[in-house]
Amino acid sequence: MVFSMIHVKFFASVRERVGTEELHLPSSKSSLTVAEVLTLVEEQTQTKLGDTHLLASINHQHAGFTDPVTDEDEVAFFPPVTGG
Amino acid sequence: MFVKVQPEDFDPMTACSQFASDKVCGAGGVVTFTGTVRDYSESSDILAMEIEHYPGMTERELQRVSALAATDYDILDSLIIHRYGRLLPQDNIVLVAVWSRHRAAAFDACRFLIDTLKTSAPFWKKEITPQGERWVTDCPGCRAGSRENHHHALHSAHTHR
Repeated sequence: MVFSMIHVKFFASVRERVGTEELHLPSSKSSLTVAEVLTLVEEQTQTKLGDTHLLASINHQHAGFTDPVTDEDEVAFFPPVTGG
Repeated sequence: MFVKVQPEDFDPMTACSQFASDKVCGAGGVVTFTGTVRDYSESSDILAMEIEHYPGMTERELQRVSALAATDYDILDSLIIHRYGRLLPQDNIVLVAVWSRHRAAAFDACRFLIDTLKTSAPFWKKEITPQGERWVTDCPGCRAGSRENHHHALHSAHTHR
C-alpha cells in the first residue's frame, strides 16, 4: 500500500549519473528521512550515490540527511554548488 | 532587496541606476561586485561555461541571503542578478550591489552576499574546454571550513583536488 509520494529532482553531475531529471517515488511509509529517499533512488536507478559528495534539499530548502520527508514533498539531490 | 535569475546579459551600471528602490535615496554610496567568466581553469583553457540552476530554490536562496544581509548589516538595500545558460569568457555571471549610508557596511555586506551565495545558491558550472566538458567540482563550503548549508552524504569520505 502506498502512503506517500515523494517527488525527487536531480541536478548537474548527479542528474547525469542517475540518467533522469526527476523521479516520483511511492513509499509505504507516511514519513521517511532524506537518507531513506536516497536509498529508494539508488534502488530504482541502480546507481550508487552515497559515495559522492552530495547535498540535498526539501521543498527548495537545504536539508540534512536525517531530516524528515513527508507526502508530496519535493526532494532534490545535487553536488556542491559552484555559482557566483 | 531584489534578486533576479536570468539567461540574458546585464550591464552593472545600468542595472544599478535603474534599480527602482525608494530605500536607496538616502544612500551615501553603492558597492558592486561583478563576477565574470575566466578564460582558464586549473588544467585547461575555457571555451565556454554552462551554468545550470534549480528554478525556485535559486530565487529562494538568493532572497534568504539578501534578508540575512539586511538584518546583519547597516545597509539600505541590495540587488543580485545571476545568469544561467551558456556563457563565454569575460561574460558577466553575477552582479551584487549594496547601497548604504556609509561605505563600510556596503563593502562588508557585498562581500557577505557573494561569499554566501557561492556556498548556498543552487548553481552549477560546467566548463567547456578543448579537451571536453567537466563539471566544476570545487566545494566552497568545505574550503571555508563551513558546515552550514552543505551536508555530506552518508559515507562522509570524499576527496578534494
